Amino acid sequence: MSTAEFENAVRERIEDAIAGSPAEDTEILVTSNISALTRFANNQIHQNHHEENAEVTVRCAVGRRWGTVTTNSLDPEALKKAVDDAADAARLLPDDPEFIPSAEGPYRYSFTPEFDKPTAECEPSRRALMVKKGFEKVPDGYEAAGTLSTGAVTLGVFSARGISAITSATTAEYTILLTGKTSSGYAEETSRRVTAIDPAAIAKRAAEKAIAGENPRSDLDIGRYTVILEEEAVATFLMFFSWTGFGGQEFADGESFLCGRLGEKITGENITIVDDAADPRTFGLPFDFEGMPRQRLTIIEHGIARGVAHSRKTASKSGALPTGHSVGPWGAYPTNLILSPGDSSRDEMIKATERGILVSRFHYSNVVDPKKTVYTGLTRDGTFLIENGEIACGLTNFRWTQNALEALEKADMISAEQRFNSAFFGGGAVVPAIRTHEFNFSGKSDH
Amino acid sequence: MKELADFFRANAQRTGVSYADIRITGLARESLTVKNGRVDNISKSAEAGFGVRVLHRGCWGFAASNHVNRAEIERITMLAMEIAMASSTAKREDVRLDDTPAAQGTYVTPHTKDPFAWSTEEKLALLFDWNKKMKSVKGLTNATSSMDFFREEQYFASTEGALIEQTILESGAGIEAVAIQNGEMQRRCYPNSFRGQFHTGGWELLEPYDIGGNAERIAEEAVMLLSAPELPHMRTTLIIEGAQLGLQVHESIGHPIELDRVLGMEAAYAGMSFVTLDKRGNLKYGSDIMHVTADATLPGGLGTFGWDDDGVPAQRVDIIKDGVFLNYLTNRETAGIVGQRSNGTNRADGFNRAPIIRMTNINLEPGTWELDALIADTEDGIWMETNKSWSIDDRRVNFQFGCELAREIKGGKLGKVYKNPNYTGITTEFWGSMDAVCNKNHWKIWGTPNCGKGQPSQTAHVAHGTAPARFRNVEVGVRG
Repeated sequence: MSTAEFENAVRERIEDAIAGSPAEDTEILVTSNISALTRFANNQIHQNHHEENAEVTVRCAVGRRWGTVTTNSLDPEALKKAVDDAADAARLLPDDPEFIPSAEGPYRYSFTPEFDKPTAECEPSRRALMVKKGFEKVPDGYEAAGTLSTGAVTLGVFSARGISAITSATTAEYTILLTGKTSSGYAEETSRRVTAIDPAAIAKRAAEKAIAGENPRSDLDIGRYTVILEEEAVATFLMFFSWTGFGGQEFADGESFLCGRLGEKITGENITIVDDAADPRTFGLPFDFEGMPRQRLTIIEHGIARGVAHSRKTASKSGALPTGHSVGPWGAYPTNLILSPGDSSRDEMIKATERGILVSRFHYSNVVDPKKTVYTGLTRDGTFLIENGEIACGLTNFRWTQNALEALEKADMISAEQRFNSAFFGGGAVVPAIRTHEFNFSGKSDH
Repeated sequence: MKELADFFRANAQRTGVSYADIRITGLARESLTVKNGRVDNISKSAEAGFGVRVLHRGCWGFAASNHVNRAEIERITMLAMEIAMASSTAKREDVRLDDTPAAQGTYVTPHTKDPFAWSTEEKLALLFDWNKKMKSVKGLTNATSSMDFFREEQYFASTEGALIEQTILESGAGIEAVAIQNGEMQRRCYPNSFRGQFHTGGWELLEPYDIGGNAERIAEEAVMLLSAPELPHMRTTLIIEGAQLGLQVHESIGHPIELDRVLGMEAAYAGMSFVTLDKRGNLKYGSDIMHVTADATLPGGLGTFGWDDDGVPAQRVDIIKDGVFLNYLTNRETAGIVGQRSNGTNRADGFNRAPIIRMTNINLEPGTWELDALIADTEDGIWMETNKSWSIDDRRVNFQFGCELAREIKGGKLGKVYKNPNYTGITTEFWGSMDAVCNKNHWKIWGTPNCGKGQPSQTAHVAHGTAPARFRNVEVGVRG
């Protein structure tokens, strides 16, 4: 079955279920995925996974209340049961003073994400071959661990009030970590097309990082340093901003760090953060979980806080307009963030730093104080001392505890190059590397 | 189900693979949230599917589908076999399973009050009542009350002859009070953070927490924290209450003793472990009073079951005794490496994930102290409770935890409240400084329903039995 045929079949089934709904208003969100992941460790494939699944969330409104039921079957009988059960569930609830009907459509969507058939249908033998290409670049004395994942997802939103949106996209991602006796290095690449992934080149990047960090120094004191944060670290900051400050629900509840600060300068002028699903580098989809078109959203413009992501409901609570960022019952979050580039290169940042620390990657970061944007975490897979404008040596890992907005406030160099980088707890962002000052290393690890 | 399992076995045996198993599951979830006097979210979900694991040419292949029928089982089994063949083109060593005998049997989580048989109206009435009590406190901004129920019916069959039917029932509930003023936010949760306390069992296990009876107190504490001083940065004696200590056990003991992590199988994502193979029987993990068990037989624990997803029976194992590290968490694939049979910790997050080593109930066994006596015995120190944030390095050495509330201990008495407390340390130094653990009167099993691991990601439901314990010379009050 072609993608178009599959989408039409889904549309037909869902629209039939809505037509047969006993409720006054019905909305159905469907995600269907075929995904595969080849996982390797100790220079061999050790886990190898393939799944086919769906998630169908049915919301039925009776009076001023929504009932919600989720199933993982797209069979007509299962859909009918889910619709009936959701209507029954709604009848049991009290009226919702914040009730909002389903979105009224149809809408036109501004882009179609890329769907690559070879990625959707990538065979395990091909993934194994690609993984072995990466192994060829593993230096002696190092163990490779990582993943190669390929898959396709179909997202659809349909409502009794004219929303009829369905789209499909593919994703391929390769990650590799090389661990040696005294150091490690990591690299990753994400694309809509598996053919765009070059495991050998990515493994080579990880190897260069690992070799450069061999025999690290462990005697550097904790304290505040000038740091160059590479992309993963910056992406982690942006994802925490999204979860604790850029979301409409947190904003409406008064819990966002942007509450009362829209229009205020909160970082330096060199910081602009937007959310733009239409930028192909963010791997975005054209509509949100309510079927609303995803809009380009300016969150911070030259240091000034401009807005947050809204669903129809959070917008209504905040007296704002929806921005097409609903994530269902969890509210609204920007998931396609971009931090604008500067005009430096990584090498220029190093050259301009008399004494500092280069951080390749964070590990297991978490929120210490969401209102003050204080986060903590560790460095991992390549932490380096910079002396007199050069990488002097590798360092063992530090714990950091830092106000992230302050780190952006003090950023004085930003790379011209941006790349999409995933974040440890999920998501990712298109980000440059940045240099900032007085970054707080509050503890040390032993490796 | 039995008929599908028999079909799977006959079909898998015909393919000539060295081992195969199937898990057919049906999962029901119910989640209810009331926020600020209105229903925020009520969702009921039901999902079904199956996953097939094949060991072929010394390698694993796994495939899963949400269509449960004979033709799909046949297709998915062949796909899993094809995946295993692909794995075998990039292998170093063959996977060898241990010789655990194939089990047959049935397990149902013991319970007396099935939450799924309880009406939505009754659940909502309780949630609204908790909400109202919190909102009655002046200065409170947001009040959230929640319940979560989970029932998984699983049918496991293997080509070795295992045939196991299990029904796992889980119940959880909690409240969260948030106070916001002048750009500052303080949060208090009860009985625990992240949607409360979770057990395997029915509602009867949550009743003793008297959530409604604690709602006003929790809201008052959230408001009080706004005007409390910040905990100063210092080294001091620290007494940690049970729920926070549960997460400390989770991150600094539970994860590092997973043998797959020790062997590098998780390196790419969550990291490795400082508890390398040479440490078994040698590492002084903590002080002499430290006794840690992995016990999947513990009634009410979120890591309690009949058999794991290898078909290995639930067990109780000493992990650390007299402060010395003794045993890893193992599965049938890894146990042989340490010369043992699996101790039954291989679990999957649903039909569409292959099982990996997961914590069961990892417990710091009770000590001898009454809590009052322990506080009275502490001249100068800090009490901390309820987790707010957690972070630990990729070998589980350096950790930092934030808590919701701290109290000063002066002259053996609890004193003033501090806000935004946190503490940090190095795993073996920290456990080595433990000089007192409270007794079984203060020991509770704390559910952790959000343990992440694996690629693709899996969320496990695990637990930790703990009582408050005292640690010396701990760094607290780290600032950003």
